[in-house]
Amino acid sequence: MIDFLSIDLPPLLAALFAAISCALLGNYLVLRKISLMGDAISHSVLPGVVVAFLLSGSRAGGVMFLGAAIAGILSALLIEGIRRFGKVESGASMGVVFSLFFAVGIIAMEQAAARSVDLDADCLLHGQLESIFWYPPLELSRFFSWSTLALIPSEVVIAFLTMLLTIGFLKLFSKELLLSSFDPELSTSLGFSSTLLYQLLMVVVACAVVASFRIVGSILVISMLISPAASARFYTERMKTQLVMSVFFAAITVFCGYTAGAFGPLLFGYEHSVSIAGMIAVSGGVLLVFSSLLAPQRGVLARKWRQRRLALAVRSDDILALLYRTEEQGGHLSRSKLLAHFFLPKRTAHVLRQLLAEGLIEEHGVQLSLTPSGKARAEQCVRSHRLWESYLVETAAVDRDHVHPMAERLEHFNTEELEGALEQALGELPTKDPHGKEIP
Amino acid sequence: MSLTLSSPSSLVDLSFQVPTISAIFSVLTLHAGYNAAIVVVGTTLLGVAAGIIGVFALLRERALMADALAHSALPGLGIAFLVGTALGIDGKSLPLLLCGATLFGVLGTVVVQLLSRLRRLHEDAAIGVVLSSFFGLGIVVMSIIQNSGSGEEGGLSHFIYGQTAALQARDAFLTLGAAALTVIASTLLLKEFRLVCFDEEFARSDGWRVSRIDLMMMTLVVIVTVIGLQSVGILLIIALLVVPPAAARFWTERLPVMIGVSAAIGGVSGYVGASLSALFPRFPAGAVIVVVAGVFFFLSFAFAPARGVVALFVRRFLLRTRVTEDHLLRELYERLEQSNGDGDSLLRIGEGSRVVSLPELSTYRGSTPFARWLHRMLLQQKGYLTLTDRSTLLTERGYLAAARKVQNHRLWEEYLLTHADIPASHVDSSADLVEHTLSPEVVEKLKRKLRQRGTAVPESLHPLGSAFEREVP
Amino acid sequence: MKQRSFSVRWCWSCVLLLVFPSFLLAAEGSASSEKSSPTVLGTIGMITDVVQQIGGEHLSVTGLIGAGVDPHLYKATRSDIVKLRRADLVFYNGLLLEGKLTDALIRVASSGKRVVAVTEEIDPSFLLQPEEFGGHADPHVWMDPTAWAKGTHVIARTLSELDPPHAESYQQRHAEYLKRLEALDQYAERVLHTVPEPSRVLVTAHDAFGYLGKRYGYQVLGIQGISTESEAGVQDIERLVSVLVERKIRAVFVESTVSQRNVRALIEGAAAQGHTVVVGGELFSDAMGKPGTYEGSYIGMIDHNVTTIASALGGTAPKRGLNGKLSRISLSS
Repeated sequence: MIDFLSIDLPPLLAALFAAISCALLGNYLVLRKISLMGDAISHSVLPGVVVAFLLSGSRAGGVMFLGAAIAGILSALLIEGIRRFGKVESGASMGVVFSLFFAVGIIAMEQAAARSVDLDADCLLHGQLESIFWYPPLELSRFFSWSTLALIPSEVVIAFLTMLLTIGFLKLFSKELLLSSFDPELSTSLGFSSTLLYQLLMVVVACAVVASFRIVGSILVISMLISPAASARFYTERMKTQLVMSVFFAAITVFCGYTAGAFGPLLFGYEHSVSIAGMIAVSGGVLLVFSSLLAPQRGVLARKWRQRRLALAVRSDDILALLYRTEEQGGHLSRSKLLAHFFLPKRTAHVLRQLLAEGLIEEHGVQLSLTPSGKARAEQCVRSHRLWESYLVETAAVDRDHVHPMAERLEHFNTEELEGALEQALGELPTKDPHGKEIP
Repeated sequence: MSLTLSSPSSLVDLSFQVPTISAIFSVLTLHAGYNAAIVVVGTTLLGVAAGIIGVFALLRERALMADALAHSALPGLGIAFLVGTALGIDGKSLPLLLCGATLFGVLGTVVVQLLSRLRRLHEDAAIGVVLSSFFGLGIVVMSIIQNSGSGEEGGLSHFIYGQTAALQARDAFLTLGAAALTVIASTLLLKEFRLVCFDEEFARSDGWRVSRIDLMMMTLVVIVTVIGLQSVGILLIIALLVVPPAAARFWTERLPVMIGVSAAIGGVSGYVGASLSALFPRFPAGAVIVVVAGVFFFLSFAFAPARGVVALFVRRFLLRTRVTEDHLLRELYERLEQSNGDGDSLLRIGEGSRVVSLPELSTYRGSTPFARWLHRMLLQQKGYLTLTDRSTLLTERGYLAAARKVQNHRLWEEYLLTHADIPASHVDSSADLVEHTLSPEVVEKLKRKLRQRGTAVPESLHPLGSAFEREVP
Repeated sequence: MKQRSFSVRWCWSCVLLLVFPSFLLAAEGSASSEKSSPTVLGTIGMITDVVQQIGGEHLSVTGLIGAGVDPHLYKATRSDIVKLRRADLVFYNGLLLEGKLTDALIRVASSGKRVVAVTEEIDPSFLLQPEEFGGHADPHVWMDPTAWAKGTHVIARTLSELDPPHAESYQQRHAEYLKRLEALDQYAERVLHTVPEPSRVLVTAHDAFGYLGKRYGYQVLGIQGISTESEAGVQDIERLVSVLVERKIRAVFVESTVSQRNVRALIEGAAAQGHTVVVGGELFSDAMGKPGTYEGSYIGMIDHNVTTIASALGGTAPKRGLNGKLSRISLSS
């Protein structure tokens, strides 16, 4: 318990706050196809770090942060500028800017003979989750007092403030951001410049990203800018819902990643924990893969399932219609003949079983026949088919000989409104289809 | 003991010598020393290879593929090390590490392919997700390794990355092979690559195996990236795959030309950058090449005639000037029209000039006083206006021109209202749009239709106000 | 169907095979966590080794950063933090060697625990620091045994304060260890000075041997700076090659933590000018050798470095080093 309070709680909170601010901003980055901004800024901060060191002669965290923040903001603005004015694809714009910034940083480092000083952004700038721990007072009475607040690790406080600022900014400009994300021209004509708004957004992103680097390290930030927002896109089309979901996903990812990184290996008997930030990034990826597979409507499985259900419905319509037509001509159909009539006999047999169970078809010996309710369904289907045929021949001037396969496909679109519209288009209801068959 | 001996490195002296002409010449002609020659040749070839294949990556919106690949190689590196150590082989043998890294790099690429096939994710998000989660996995593997106590893991994460200045002959030959391969492949498969880059849907419906062509393209990117990573390091190869193609895109829309320009920029950047690094002390080769390529990029960004920013601004300025002139004339005409009934009666009154007093033009929105002055001066130059200190006089020529403009505008409005189903409240701005921004051929075609309707200035279709006010709906 | 159920069973058995022993290990791990003697923790292997030598059986000594790990890049995990907090005393190198660990060390120190930098008593004027950037000294102090001896003073004194009952034992063991260090220093000086004066140039992959050069009068040339982001220029490489050729240096050295590629380029460059340079062997810079071996101790590591350098550059050195324990000196081309 004490271990949890002093070793686990602070990094969890810091990671949570940082992840929430990143996830929120990430929604806009993903929408604008610049979701790799975190990676770009992580490379771009090097010249800022080097120049800050050269000017101040110190490797203190504050100075490094200031330099990095300035370099980060500059690179973000430049990326947005090149993208907008040069109409360069955003990935290329990011690649150009961050590689250039990084190169300038290295040249500055070598030229200033700083090669004998260990100037590594990863080392100097980026914080580490695991080292955010504290020594809280252990007695309950002293724990719940104001003086405890002063003991809270500064990283947690900064992460919290960053989160508040991010939320505040997004709240303040939520309408404008939404509008200019989807309709930049309209927003410009409404009196606020979407260019300016985006430059502002980029500044906020750069500040939040660099601040989060300082607290939780780069990989967690890069991951949290992308994964939660990208996952949320599989569940909703609405921006507001997406924002809320991304926060939810960020929280889940942080908790799962933390548990897996800190305790997972111990459960398996390995005595060392593994990197928590890395594990959170991995869980972000896992979450996205799960979402892409399992999301209710837009997931791969849901789509596959929908396709299969549609295929089954089509097949059951076809079977009923086939029986109807056979009976119309006074013939009979046996099970084997029916199965032979369609592709994929397995699927046909499955649908047939269902139809028998629903009581739409009866089986007398080997003969299949429609029950009255089955007949009603089949009538509907055949009617739709023949209406479509009439429509296609009369209104769309399709050749009589080619009309059947088309209608075969269209007959399954037979909502009431559509039928009404078809009837209207045909004017007087025909009683016979183009092939001379009666329309039920 | 002398001071030079005790200093950690005698390379840390800050003297800066300007190279002589002969030194420059000997570097450029590869006579400045073995290593310099190898680096200059190797980076030039790599610049060409990356420049060519980078164009396709850019057009497929996968400019940062190399970045993703380099990051997703990390877990492969760690796992290869662990496996090697467990099997009792030297965990740090370069071929083993390269194998692991390449395997995971390719795996990452394949996952990007799969993810971007889902409609909900753009390429950049797919790349980002793969980059971050693979790199995260790499960090996890590294943290396992650092506690595994095998005693050899130091520096592993940077172990396979080469340094540009330390290029060896073998690397240069490898690069030559890669360059030859990309040149041959992109010449033979130009048609296929072009189809997939520019019109994927069409290619698919036309029966091309898009995913196979795509895979081939990405394989080339992977080959060049891996060769680059282990010979010149992560920074330079990413930059060479992105910067020259992005620069070439400013110059042309045609694929073969773009490939040529990109290869040239890549090659020249490599050549010039490596030479600079050979001429000046403490010029890290890779970084200098990136900066040279960056200079090319910004030159193209600014000055390329087709898509450069300067050209863009000039065009935009000219268009805006023309539009505002038209607006000014129309405004003057409509003022007269409103104060004196219809335009025809005005025409009868007028001999010489018509008077529009200046204060009435205060609705000149969105322009600075300078622009206002400039536009009036321009119109005066054309003989449409006479400016006195208190009022603006519309000359007979100006009046006719204005009438023509107004006629034109209202015809457009009518056309849009009747044929394009645009509501009356919006026709004004839409007509503006048509007048000023549609291509001349389209306008000509529409005009022919309109011409059949006579030449008189029709009535306005909406209540009149200032043209400048109406600009904002 | 049969095929499938087989593969499912196969998967399950694999999972079981993986999970079962790990439970066993977990049970074993939790059983052995009793302790009685004070726990002392050293960040890097070089420190842990010295603490072990001085502390002997009176202390339970744990190391944080494993033997072969680059301390610049070390990233603490949660279990490391737990170790750090449980320790009664923490020794670290200082001079910002433990890059990302520094924050955690400061936090632990703020709780009132003793966290001691072993380099704290070394005279700042001794430290190598770039003139422009005072206060950013090269942290690889252990390369010079006499400087490291100063570090051992700090360790011995702190241990005595922590555990007064055994203070005498610590002092005695410290004195013994100092003798061994002195012997090491003398050996290094003797062996390294068998190399002819003009050849006393140490060309390595990165700048980590400054203190060794300063102590024994070697010129040290690193291809790459200390930072992992650092990158060499073409002219710098050319200059290194011409130094090798002009001064007829016979060998260059690779490091366990840096890729050999850069060094190979130098060899190629020299070969193109008709001068044969070989890889003189692998030196230990930021990390020691494998744990449990002689090279996995501080003395063994320096012994290895010194012996390797001397024999590669044309001096004479006993094949198996100062104590006759070196496993191998690999002279590969």
